[in-house]
Amino acid sequence: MRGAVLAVFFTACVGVLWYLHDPAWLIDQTTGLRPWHRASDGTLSRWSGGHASFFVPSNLSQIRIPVSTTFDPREPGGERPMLVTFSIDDRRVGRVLLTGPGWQEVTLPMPPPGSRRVRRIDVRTNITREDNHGVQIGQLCCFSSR
Amino acid sequence: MRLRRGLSCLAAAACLAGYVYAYASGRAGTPVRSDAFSYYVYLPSWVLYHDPSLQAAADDCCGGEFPAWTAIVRWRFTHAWVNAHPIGEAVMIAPFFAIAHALTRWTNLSPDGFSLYYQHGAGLAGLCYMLIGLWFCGRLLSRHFSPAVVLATQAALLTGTSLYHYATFDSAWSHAFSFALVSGFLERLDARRPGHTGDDVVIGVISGLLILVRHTHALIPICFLGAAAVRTRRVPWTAAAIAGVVVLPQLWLYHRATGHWVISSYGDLGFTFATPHIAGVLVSVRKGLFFYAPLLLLALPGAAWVPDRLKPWRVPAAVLLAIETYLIASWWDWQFGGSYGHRGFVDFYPIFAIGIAATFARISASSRLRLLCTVAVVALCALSVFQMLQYWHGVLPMSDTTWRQYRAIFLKGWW
Repeated sequence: MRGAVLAVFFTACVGVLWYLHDPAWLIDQTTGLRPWHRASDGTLSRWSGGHASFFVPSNLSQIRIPVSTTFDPREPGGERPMLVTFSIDDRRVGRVLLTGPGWQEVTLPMPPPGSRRVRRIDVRTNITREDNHGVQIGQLCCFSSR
Repeated sequence: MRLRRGLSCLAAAACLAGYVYAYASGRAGTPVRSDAFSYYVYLPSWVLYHDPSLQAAADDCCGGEFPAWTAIVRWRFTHAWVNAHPIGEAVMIAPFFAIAHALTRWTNLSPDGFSLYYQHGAGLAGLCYMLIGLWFCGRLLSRHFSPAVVLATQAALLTGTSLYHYATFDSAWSHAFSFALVSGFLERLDARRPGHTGDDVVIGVISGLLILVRHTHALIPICFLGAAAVRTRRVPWTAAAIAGVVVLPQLWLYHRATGHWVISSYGDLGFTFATPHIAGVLVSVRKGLFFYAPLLLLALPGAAWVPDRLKPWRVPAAVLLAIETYLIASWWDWQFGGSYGHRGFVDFYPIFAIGIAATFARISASSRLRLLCTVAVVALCALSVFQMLQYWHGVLPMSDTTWRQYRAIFLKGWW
Protein backbone atom coordinates (compact mmCIF):
# COMPACT_ATOMS: atom_id res chain seq x y z
CA MET A 1 0.00 0.00 0.00
CA ARG A 2 2.75 2.39 1.01
CA GLY A 3 4.67 1.52 -2.17
CA ALA A 4 1.62 2.34 -4.30
CA VAL A 5 1.14 5.68 -2.54
CA LEU A 6 4.81 6.53 -3.07
CA ALA A 7 4.57 5.55 -6.74
CA VAL A 8 1.51 7.77 -7.25
CA PHE A 9 3.23 10.64 -5.40
CA PHE A 10 6.41 10.25 -7.46
CA THR A 11 4.45 10.09 -10.73
CA ALA A 12 2.45 13.17 -9.75
CA CYS A 13 5.66 15.08 -8.95
CA VAL A 14 7.20 14.15 -12.29
CA GLY A 15 3.98 15.17 -14.06
CA VAL A 16 3.86 18.53 -12.29
CA LEU A 17 7.51 19.20 -13.06
CA TRP A 18 7.02 18.28 -16.72
CA TYR A 19 4.04 20.67 -16.88
CA LEU A 20 5.91 23.49 -15.12
CA HIS A 21 8.83 23.34 -17.54
CA ASP A 22 6.89 25.22 -20.23
CA PRO A 23 3.39 26.14 -19.01
CA ALA A 24 1.05 28.04 -21.32
CA TRP A 25 0.27 30.70 -18.69
CA LEU A 26 3.87 31.89 -18.58
CA ILE A 27 3.27 34.33 -21.45
CA ASP A 28 0.97 36.35 -19.12
CA GLN A 29 3.41 36.46 -16.18
CA THR A 30 5.09 39.74 -15.30
CA THR A 31 7.01 41.01 -12.30
CA GLY A 32 7.83 44.57 -11.33
CA LEU A 33 5.34 46.11 -13.75
CA ARG A 34 2.44 48.37 -12.77
CA PRO A 35 -0.93 48.29 -14.58
CA TRP A 36 -1.30 49.63 -18.11
CA HIS A 37 -2.22 53.30 -18.40
CA ARG A 38 -3.07 55.49 -21.37
CA ALA A 39 -1.43 58.92 -21.73
CA SER A 40 -3.32 61.97 -23.05
CA ASP A 41 -1.84 61.34 -26.53
CA GLY A 42 -3.24 57.82 -26.49
CA THR A 43 0.08 56.05 -25.84
CA LEU A 44 -0.31 52.86 -23.83
CA SER A 45 2.48 52.06 -21.36
CA ARG A 46 3.23 50.57 -17.98
CA TRP A 47 5.77 51.65 -15.39
CA SER A 48 8.51 49.33 -14.23
CA GLY A 49 10.25 49.36 -10.87
CA GLY A 50 14.01 48.92 -10.66
CA HIS A 51 13.60 45.51 -12.25
CA ALA A 52 10.76 44.19 -14.37
CA SER A 53 10.30 41.04 -16.40
CA PHE A 54 7.82 39.77 -18.93
CA PHE A 55 7.61 37.04 -21.57
CA VAL A 56 7.41 37.06 -25.36
CA PRO A 57 6.87 34.19 -27.81
CA SER A 58 10.15 32.43 -28.60
CA ASN A 59 9.48 32.25 -32.34
CA LEU A 60 10.12 36.00 -32.84
CA SER A 61 13.22 37.17 -34.70
CA GLN A 62 13.40 40.55 -32.97
CA ILE A 63 11.39 42.85 -30.72
CA ARG A 64 11.30 46.62 -30.46
CA ILE A 65 10.64 48.07 -27.00
CA PRO A 66 9.76 51.77 -26.55
CA VAL A 67 10.97 53.17 -23.21
CA SER A 68 10.93 56.57 -21.52
CA THR A 69 11.17 58.07 -18.07
CA THR A 70 10.56 61.37 -16.34
CA PHE A 71 13.06 64.18 -15.90
CA ASP A 72 11.71 66.33 -13.11
CA PRO A 73 14.03 69.02 -11.68
CA ARG A 74 11.78 69.36 -8.59
CA GLU A 75 12.53 65.78 -7.53
CA PRO A 76 15.92 65.18 -5.83
CA GLY A 77 18.10 63.54 -8.50
CA GLY A 78 15.12 63.67 -10.83
CA GLU A 79 17.22 64.86 -13.78
CA ARG A 80 19.88 62.16 -13.59
CA PRO A 81 20.23 60.11 -16.80
CA MET A 82 18.91 56.57 -16.45
CA LEU A 83 20.69 53.51 -17.82
CA VAL A 84 18.27 50.78 -18.89
CA THR A 85 19.60 47.26 -19.42
CA PHE A 86 17.73 44.52 -21.30
CA SER A 87 18.39 40.82 -21.09
CA ILE A 88 16.80 37.77 -22.66
CA ASP A 89 16.82 34.63 -20.52
CA ASP A 90 19.52 36.20 -18.29
CA ARG A 91 21.80 37.09 -21.25
CA ARG A 92 22.38 40.83 -21.67
CA VAL A 93 21.31 41.95 -25.15
CA GLY A 94 20.92 45.72 -25.04
CA ARG A 95 21.41 48.95 -23.14
CA VAL A 96 20.12 52.46 -23.56
CA LEU A 97 20.90 55.67 -21.68
CA LEU A 98 17.85 57.90 -21.24
CA THR A 99 18.92 61.53 -21.02
CA GLY A 100 15.64 63.25 -21.86
CA PRO A 101 11.91 62.71 -21.41
CA GLY A 102 11.17 61.48 -24.97
CA TRP A 103 10.52 57.90 -26.04
CA GLN A 104 13.45 55.77 -27.23
CA GLU A 105 13.04 52.49 -29.05
CA VAL A 106 15.38 49.62 -28.38
CA THR A 107 15.56 46.73 -30.82
CA LEU A 108 16.54 43.39 -29.36
CA PRO A 109 17.57 40.48 -31.57
CA MET A 110 15.98 37.27 -30.37
CA PRO A 111 17.99 34.06 -30.16
CA PRO A 112 16.75 31.05 -32.15
CA PRO A 113 13.74 29.32 -30.59
CA GLY A 114 14.72 26.79 -27.94
CA SER A 115 12.72 24.12 -26.21
CA ARG A 116 10.25 26.59 -24.66
CA ARG A 117 7.30 28.50 -26.08
CA VAL A 118 8.39 31.79 -24.48
CA ARG A 119 11.48 33.78 -23.63
CA ARG A 120 11.90 36.03 -20.62
CA ILE A 121 12.82 39.69 -21.08
CA ASP A 122 14.27 41.47 -18.03
CA VAL A 123 14.46 45.26 -17.88
CA ARG A 124 16.69 46.80 -15.21
CA THR A 125 17.35 50.46 -14.44
CA ASN A 126 20.40 51.74 -12.57
CA ILE A 127 18.30 54.28 -10.63
CA THR A 128 14.62 54.83 -9.97
CA ARG A 129 12.54 57.96 -9.73
CA GLU A 130 10.17 58.81 -6.86
CA ASP A 131 8.06 55.91 -5.51
CA ASN A 132 10.35 53.38 -7.20
CA HIS A 133 9.38 54.29 -10.77
CA GLY A 134 11.87 53.00 -13.37
CA VAL A 135 10.91 53.30 -17.01
CA GLN A 136 7.64 53.44 -18.88
CA ILE A 137 7.52 50.48 -21.23
CA GLY A 138 5.29 50.99 -24.25
CA GLN A 139 3.65 48.41 -26.47
CA LEU A 140 6.13 46.02 -28.02
CA CYS A 141 6.67 45.66 -31.76
CA CYS A 142 7.32 42.04 -32.57
CA PHE A 143 8.93 40.75 -35.77
CA SER A 144 8.60 37.17 -36.82
CA SER A 145 10.58 36.29 -39.94
CA ARG A 146 11.20 32.69 -38.97
CA MET B 1 -5.66 10.83 17.87
CA ARG B 2 -7.73 10.20 14.75
CA LEU B 3 -9.93 13.18 15.64
CA ARG B 4 -6.87 15.41 16.04
CA ARG B 5 -5.48 14.28 12.72
CA GLY B 6 -8.87 14.92 11.12
CA LEU B 7 -8.98 18.45 12.52
CA SER B 8 -5.42 19.10 11.37
CA CYS B 9 -6.36 18.05 7.82
CA LEU B 10 -9.54 20.14 7.97
CA ALA B 11 -7.60 23.18 9.27
CA ALA B 12 -5.00 22.75 6.54
CA ALA B 13 -7.68 22.46 3.84
CA ALA B 14 -9.59 25.47 5.21
CA CYS B 15 -6.42 27.59 5.37
CA LEU B 16 -5.36 26.56 1.88
CA ALA B 17 -8.85 27.41 0.56
CA GLY B 18 -8.68 30.84 2.23
CA TYR B 19 -5.19 31.40 0.87
CA VAL B 20 -6.22 30.50 -2.68
CA TYR B 21 -9.31 32.71 -2.42
CA ALA B 22 -7.32 35.69 -1.09
CA TYR B 23 -4.80 35.57 -3.94
CA ALA B 24 -6.89 34.17 -6.80
CA SER B 25 -9.52 36.88 -6.23
CA GLY B 26 -6.83 39.57 -6.24
CA ARG B 27 -7.89 40.76 -2.76
CA ALA B 28 -4.48 40.37 -1.20
CA GLY B 29 -2.01 41.56 -3.86
CA THR B 30 1.17 39.52 -3.49
CA PRO B 31 2.23 37.72 -0.29
CA VAL B 32 5.53 39.62 0.07
CA ARG B 33 4.25 43.14 0.58
CA SER B 34 4.46 45.90 3.19
CA ASP B 35 6.20 44.64 6.38
CA ALA B 36 6.59 41.19 4.86
CA PHE B 37 9.02 42.67 2.31
CA SER B 38 11.57 43.72 4.90
CA TYR B 39 11.24 40.47 6.86
CA TYR B 40 11.85 38.55 3.64
CA VAL B 41 14.39 40.67 1.71
CA TYR B 42 17.35 39.01 3.43
CA LEU B 43 16.79 35.83 1.42
CA PRO B 44 17.24 37.28 -2.10
CA SER B 45 20.10 39.37 -0.79
CA TRP B 46 21.96 36.47 0.85
CA VAL B 47 21.12 33.58 -1.45
CA LEU B 48 20.88 35.22 -4.89
CA TYR B 49 23.37 38.07 -4.56
CA HIS B 50 25.60 36.73 -1.74
CA ASP B 51 25.39 40.16 -0.17
CA PRO B 52 24.67 40.57 3.57
CA SER B 53 24.55 44.38 3.21
CA LEU B 54 21.20 44.32 1.29
CA GLN B 55 22.65 46.75 -1.28
CA ALA B 56 22.46 44.28 -4.18
CA ALA B 57 18.79 43.63 -3.41
CA ALA B 58 18.18 47.40 -3.33
CA ASP B 59 19.97 47.75 -6.66
CA ASP B 60 17.84 45.11 -8.29
CA CYS B 61 14.40 45.89 -6.89
CA CYS B 62 14.56 49.61 -6.42
CA GLY B 63 17.33 51.31 -8.38
CA GLY B 64 19.71 51.31 -5.42
CA GLU B 65 17.48 52.86 -2.74
CA PHE B 66 14.80 51.05 -0.73
CA PRO B 67 11.54 53.03 -0.66
CA ALA B 68 10.61 54.56 2.73
CA TRP B 69 7.69 52.16 3.30
CA THR B 70 10.09 49.22 3.57
CA ALA B 71 11.44 50.48 6.93
CA ILE B 72 14.94 49.70 5.67
CA VAL B 73 16.97 52.84 6.27
CA ARG B 74 20.54 53.99 5.79
CA TRP B 75 22.42 54.22 9.12
CA ARG B 76 23.26 57.85 9.66
CA PHE B 77 27.02 57.46 10.20
CA THR B 78 27.95 54.53 7.95
CA HIS B 79 25.38 54.91 5.16
CA ALA B 80 24.85 51.11 5.34
CA TRP B 81 21.37 49.60 5.20
CA VAL B 82 19.71 48.74 8.51
CA ASN B 83 16.50 46.74 8.36
CA ALA B 84 13.91 47.47 11.06
CA HIS B 85 12.85 43.85 10.89
CA PRO B 86 15.28 41.13 11.97
CA ILE B 87 16.32 37.96 10.15
CA GLY B 88 14.31 35.27 11.95
CA GLU B 89 11.42 35.02 9.53
CA ALA B 90 13.81 34.83 6.56
CA VAL B 91 15.69 32.01 8.28
CA MET B 92 12.43 30.12 8.78
CA ILE B 93 11.32 30.70 5.16
CA ALA B 94 14.69 29.52 3.80
CA PRO B 95 13.64 25.90 3.00
CA PHE B 96 10.59 27.20 1.10
CA PHE B 97 12.81 29.72 -0.69
CA ALA B 98 15.16 26.95 -1.82
CA ILE B 99 12.27 25.01 -3.38
CA ALA B 100 10.88 28.20 -4.95
CA HIS B 101 14.28 29.03 -6.41
CA ALA B 102 14.70 25.58 -7.95
CA LEU B 103 11.20 25.76 -9.47
CA THR B 104 11.85 29.30 -10.71
CA ARG B 105 14.93 28.11 -12.58
CA TRP B 106 13.01 25.13 -13.92
CA THR B 107 10.14 27.28 -15.28
CA ASN B 108 12.48 30.13 -16.35
CA LEU B 109 10.69 32.75 -14.27
CA SER B 110 12.77 35.73 -13.20
CA PRO B 111 15.22 34.50 -10.51
CA ASP B 112 15.06 37.80 -8.61
CA GLY B 113 13.53 36.60 -5.36
CA PHE B 114 10.17 38.26 -5.98
CA SER B 115 8.59 36.41 -8.91
CA LEU B 116 5.64 34.02 -8.62
CA TYR B 117 7.14 30.99 -6.85
CA TYR B 118 9.18 33.04 -4.38
CA GLN B 119 6.07 35.03 -3.46
CA HIS B 120 3.97 31.97 -2.78
CA GLY B 121 6.88 30.11 -1.21
CA ALA B 122 6.94 32.83 1.44
CA GLY B 123 3.14 32.96 1.69
CA LEU B 124 2.77 29.20 2.05
CA ALA B 125 5.63 29.14 4.56
CA GLY B 126 3.52 31.32 6.87
CA LEU B 127 0.53 29.06 6.36
CA CYS B 128 2.57 25.93 7.12
CA TYR B 129 4.16 27.45 10.24
CA MET B 130 0.74 28.46 11.55
CA LEU B 131 -0.43 24.86 11.10
CA ILE B 132 2.71 23.63 12.84
CA GLY B 133 1.95 26.07 15.68
CA LEU B 134 -1.60 24.77 15.91
CA TRP B 135 -0.23 21.22 16.01
CA PHE B 136 2.21 22.07 18.83
CA CYS B 137 -0.62 23.83 20.63
CA GLY B 138 -2.76 20.69 20.38
CA ARG B 139 0.12 18.51 21.56
CA LEU B 140 0.64 20.71 24.62
CA LEU B 141 -3.05 20.86 25.49
CA SER B 142 -3.60 17.14 24.99
CA ARG B 143 -1.29 16.41 27.93
CA HIS B 144 -3.65 18.26 30.25
CA PHE B 145 -7.13 18.25 28.71
CA SER B 146 -9.55 15.82 27.07
CA PRO B 147 -9.43 15.37 23.26
CA ALA B 148 -12.78 17.16 22.89
CA VAL B 149 -11.54 20.19 24.81
CA VAL B 150 -8.31 20.28 22.77
CA LEU B 151 -10.21 20.13 19.49
CA ALA B 152 -12.69 22.80 20.58
CA THR B 153 -9.83 25.08 21.66
CA GLN B 154 -7.92 24.65 18.40
CA ALA B 155 -11.04 25.24 16.29
CA ALA B 156 -12.04 28.28 18.36
CA LEU B 157 -8.54 29.75 18.19
CA LEU B 158 -8.38 29.34 14.41
CA THR B 159 -11.80 30.75 13.58
CA GLY B 160 -12.68 32.94 16.56
CA THR B 161 -9.54 35.09 16.42
CA SER B 162 -7.42 36.68 13.69
CA LEU B 163 -5.25 33.54 13.47
CA TYR B 164 -6.92 32.39 10.24
CA HIS B 165 -6.31 35.80 8.70
CA TYR B 166 -2.59 35.65 9.55
CA ALA B 167 -2.38 32.13 8.10
CA THR B 168 -3.88 33.17 4.78
CA PHE B 169 -4.34 36.81 3.78
CA ASP B 170 -1.28 38.13 5.64
CA SER B 171 0.62 34.85 5.99
CA ALA B 172 4.02 36.32 5.11
CA TRP B 173 3.83 38.73 8.07
CA SER B 174 5.83 37.61 11.10
CA HIS B 175 2.86 36.55 13.23
CA ALA B 176 2.33 33.04 11.87
CA PHE B 177 6.03 32.38 12.44
CA SER B 178 5.97 33.75 16.00
CA PHE B 179 2.78 31.81 16.74
CA ALA B 180 4.52 28.57 15.71
CA LEU B 181 7.61 29.38 17.78
CA VAL B 182 5.66 30.33 20.92
CA SER B 183 3.56 27.16 20.58
CA GLY B 184 6.69 25.08 20.08
CA PHE B 185 8.45 26.77 22.98
CA LEU B 186 5.59 26.15 25.42
CA GLU B 187 5.10 22.56 24.25
CA ARG B 188 8.79 21.73 24.58
CA LEU B 189 8.99 23.51 27.94
CA ASP B 190 6.05 21.44 29.17
CA ALA B 191 7.73 18.25 27.94
CA ARG B 192 11.16 19.22 29.32
CA ARG B 193 12.84 16.56 31.43
CA PRO B 194 15.25 17.77 34.10
CA GLY B 195 18.85 16.95 33.26
CA HIS B 196 18.21 16.18 29.58
CA THR B 197 20.57 18.40 27.59
CA GLY B 198 18.75 17.67 24.30
CA ASP B 199 15.56 19.26 25.65
CA ASP B 200 17.47 22.39 26.64
CA VAL B 201 19.15 22.58 23.23
CA VAL B 202 15.78 22.50 21.45
CA ILE B 203 14.37 25.12 23.84
CA GLY B 204 17.48 27.23 23.26
CA VAL B 205 17.12 27.06 19.48
CA ILE B 206 13.43 28.02 19.64
CA SER B 207 14.24 30.85 22.07
CA GLY B 208 16.92 32.14 19.71
CA LEU B 209 14.55 32.03 16.75
CA LEU B 210 11.91 33.88 18.79
CA ILE B 211 14.40 36.68 19.40
CA LEU B 212 15.41 36.65 15.73
CA VAL B 213 11.80 37.05 14.57
CA ARG B 214 11.01 39.88 17.00
CA HIS B 215 13.56 41.13 19.52
CA THR B 216 11.01 41.89 22.23
CA HIS B 217 10.14 38.16 22.20
CA ALA B 218 13.26 37.70 24.32
CA LEU B 219 10.78 38.30 27.14
CA ILE B 220 9.11 34.94 26.45
CA PRO B 221 12.06 32.70 27.38
CA ILE B 222 13.15 35.18 30.04
CA CYS B 223 9.76 35.02 31.80
CA PHE B 224 9.10 31.28 31.47
CA LEU B 225 12.66 29.96 31.86
CA GLY B 226 13.32 32.58 34.53
CA ALA B 227 10.31 31.40 36.54
CA ALA B 228 11.45 27.78 36.13
CA ALA B 229 14.95 28.73 37.28
CA VAL B 230 13.59 30.48 40.37
CA ARG B 231 11.38 27.50 41.18
CA THR B 232 14.02 24.82 40.68
CA ARG B 233 17.03 26.99 41.62
CA ARG B 234 18.77 25.81 38.44
CA VAL B 235 19.70 28.30 35.77
CA PRO B 236 19.16 26.85 32.22
CA TRP B 237 22.65 27.75 31.02
CA THR B 238 22.54 25.37 28.05
CA ALA B 239 19.33 26.87 26.65
CA ALA B 240 20.65 30.40 27.24
CA ALA B 241 23.97 29.63 25.52
CA ILE B 242 22.30 28.01 22.51
CA ALA B 243 19.89 30.95 22.19
CA GLY B 244 22.88 33.29 22.29
CA VAL B 245 24.59 31.38 19.48
CA VAL B 246 21.41 31.46 17.36
CA VAL B 247 21.13 35.25 17.82
CA LEU B 248 24.80 35.90 16.89
CA PRO B 249 24.28 36.33 13.10
CA GLN B 250 21.81 39.15 13.76
CA LEU B 251 24.28 40.91 16.08
CA TRP B 252 27.00 40.47 13.45
CA LEU B 253 24.76 42.11 10.84
CA TYR B 254 24.07 45.05 13.16
CA HIS B 255 27.77 45.42 13.91
CA ARG B 256 28.68 45.18 10.24
CA ALA B 257 26.22 47.94 9.29
CA THR B 258 26.59 50.29 12.26
CA GLY B 259 29.69 49.41 14.27
CA HIS B 260 27.42 48.57 17.24
CA TRP B 261 26.33 45.13 18.41
CA VAL B 262 22.99 46.31 19.74
CA ILE B 263 20.98 49.06 18.07
CA SER B 264 17.44 50.36 17.77
CA SER B 265 16.72 49.16 14.25
CA TYR B 266 13.62 51.33 13.98
CA GLY B 267 15.78 54.47 14.05
CA ASP B 268 13.80 57.48 15.19
CA LEU B 269 10.55 55.54 15.49
CA GLY B 270 10.00 54.29 19.00
CA PHE B 271 7.92 54.02 22.14
CA THR B 272 5.77 56.60 23.91
CA PHE B 273 6.07 55.03 27.35
CA ALA B 274 4.43 57.97 29.13
CA THR B 275 1.21 57.71 27.13
CA PRO B 276 0.41 54.04 26.47
CA HIS B 277 -2.89 53.26 24.70
CA ILE B 278 -3.82 50.35 26.96
CA ALA B 279 -7.57 50.60 26.34
CA GLY B 280 -6.90 51.23 22.66
CA VAL B 281 -5.03 47.96 22.15
CA LEU B 282 -7.29 45.87 24.39
CA VAL B 283 -10.89 46.96 23.97
CA SER B 284 -11.23 49.84 21.50
CA VAL B 285 -13.20 49.68 18.28
CA ARG B 286 -10.09 50.97 16.49
CA LYS B 287 -7.97 47.89 17.08
CA GLY B 288 -8.91 46.31 20.42
CA LEU B 289 -7.75 42.73 20.91
CA PHE B 290 -10.88 41.68 22.82
CA PHE B 291 -13.17 43.81 20.67
CA TYR B 292 -12.29 41.88 17.50
CA ALA B 293 -11.64 38.53 19.22
CA PRO B 294 -13.95 38.49 22.29
CA LEU B 295 -13.49 34.73 22.46
CA LEU B 296 -10.08 35.37 24.01
CA LEU B 297 -11.85 36.70 27.12
CA LEU B 298 -12.56 33.04 27.96
CA ALA B 299 -8.87 32.71 28.77
CA LEU B 300 -9.18 35.07 31.75
CA PRO B 301 -11.35 32.88 34.02
CA GLY B 302 -9.45 29.90 32.62
CA ALA B 303 -6.31 31.19 34.29
CA ALA B 304 -7.88 30.24 37.63
CA TRP B 305 -8.80 26.75 36.43
CA VAL B 306 -5.63 25.58 34.70
CA PRO B 307 -4.45 22.09 35.72
CA ASP B 308 -2.00 21.87 38.62
CA ARG B 309 0.97 21.07 36.38
CA LEU B 310 0.47 24.30 34.43
CA LYS B 311 -0.15 26.51 37.47
CA PRO B 312 3.53 27.53 37.73
CA TRP B 313 3.10 29.18 34.32
CA ARG B 314 0.44 31.61 35.52
CA VAL B 315 2.80 34.19 37.00
CA PRO B 316 5.29 34.28 34.07
CA ALA B 317 2.39 34.35 31.59
CA ALA B 318 0.71 37.22 33.43
CA VAL B 319 3.99 39.16 33.71
CA LEU B 320 4.78 38.54 30.04
CA LEU B 321 1.35 39.60 28.80
CA ALA B 322 1.36 42.68 31.03
CA ILE B 323 4.77 43.82 29.76
CA GLU B 324 3.95 43.01 26.13
CA THR B 325 0.63 44.85 26.39
CA TYR B 326 2.45 47.88 27.78
CA LEU B 327 5.06 47.71 25.01
CA ILE B 328 2.46 47.30 22.24
CA ALA B 329 0.32 50.09 23.72
CA SER B 330 3.38 52.35 23.90
CA TRP B 331 4.51 51.83 20.32
CA TRP B 332 4.26 55.07 18.33
CA ASP B 333 1.82 53.36 15.94
CA TRP B 334 -0.09 51.41 18.60
CA GLN B 335 -2.54 50.09 15.97
CA PHE B 336 0.40 48.42 14.16
CA GLY B 337 -0.79 49.86 10.84
CA GLY B 338 -3.35 48.08 8.71
CA SER B 339 -4.43 44.78 10.23
CA TYR B 340 -7.44 42.67 11.12
CA GLY B 341 -7.76 42.84 14.90
CA HIS B 342 -4.62 43.75 16.84
CA ARG B 343 -1.85 41.76 15.20
CA GLY B 344 0.63 42.46 17.99
CA PHE B 345 -1.07 39.82 20.17
CA VAL B 346 -1.32 36.99 17.60
CA ASP B 347 2.10 35.76 18.71
CA PHE B 348 0.73 35.11 22.21
CA TYR B 349 -2.40 33.18 21.23
CA PRO B 350 -0.84 29.87 22.43
CA ILE B 351 -0.80 31.33 25.96
CA PHE B 352 -4.46 32.33 25.61
CA ALA B 353 -5.20 28.82 24.30
CA ILE B 354 -4.29 27.27 27.66
CA GLY B 355 -6.76 29.55 29.45
CA ILE B 356 -9.48 28.92 26.87
CA ALA B 357 -8.99 25.15 27.19
CA ALA B 358 -9.21 25.40 30.99
CA THR B 359 -12.51 27.31 30.69
CA PHE B 360 -13.88 24.78 28.19
CA ALA B 361 -12.88 21.92 30.50
CA ARG B 362 -14.59 23.58 33.48
CA ILE B 363 -17.74 24.40 31.54
CA SER B 364 -18.01 20.94 29.99
CA ALA B 365 -18.82 19.53 33.43
CA SER B 366 -22.32 21.04 33.25
CA SER B 367 -24.45 20.07 30.24
CA ARG B 368 -26.51 23.29 30.38
CA LEU B 369 -23.44 25.50 30.57
CA ARG B 370 -21.82 23.45 27.81
CA LEU B 371 -24.75 24.06 25.47
CA LEU B 372 -24.79 27.77 26.29
CA CYS B 373 -21.03 28.05 25.79
CA THR B 374 -21.13 26.11 22.51
CA VAL B 375 -23.79 28.44 21.09
CA ALA B 376 -21.88 31.54 22.23
CA VAL B 377 -18.52 30.30 20.93
CA VAL B 378 -19.96 29.28 17.54
CA ALA B 379 -21.63 32.69 17.23
CA LEU B 380 -18.39 34.51 18.13
CA CYS B 381 -16.41 32.40 15.65
CA ALA B 382 -18.96 33.12 12.91
CA LEU B 383 -18.80 36.84 13.70
CA SER B 384 -15.01 36.81 13.63
CA VAL B 385 -14.89 35.04 10.24
CA PHE B 386 -17.55 37.38 8.85
CA GLN B 387 -15.65 40.48 10.02
CA MET B 388 -12.44 39.06 8.62
CA LEU B 389 -14.13 38.67 5.22
CA GLN B 390 -15.40 42.25 5.56
CA TYR B 391 -11.78 43.30 6.08
CA TRP B 392 -10.66 41.29 3.03
CA HIS B 393 -13.30 42.98 0.89
CA GLY B 394 -12.54 46.49 2.12
CA VAL B 395 -15.76 46.92 4.13
CA LEU B 396 -13.96 46.99 7.50
CA PRO B 397 -11.29 49.72 7.45
CA MET B 398 -7.64 48.71 7.74
CA SER B 399 -7.15 51.01 10.77
CA ASP B 400 -8.64 53.98 12.62
CA THR B 401 -12.12 52.45 12.63
CA THR B 402 -14.62 54.67 14.46
CA TRP B 403 -17.61 53.50 16.48
CA ARG B 404 -19.93 55.15 13.94
CA GLN B 405 -18.20 53.32 11.06
CA TYR B 406 -18.36 50.02 12.93
CA ARG B 407 -22.10 50.39 13.64
CA ALA B 408 -22.74 51.30 10.01
CA ILE B 409 -20.97 48.20 8.67
CA PHE B 410 -21.93 45.72 11.42
CA LEU B 411 -23.03 42.50 9.64
CA LYS B 412 -23.08 44.38 6.35
CA GLY B 413 -22.29 42.18 3.36
CA TRP B 414 -19.69 42.95 0.70
CA TRP B 415 -21.48 41.37 -2.22
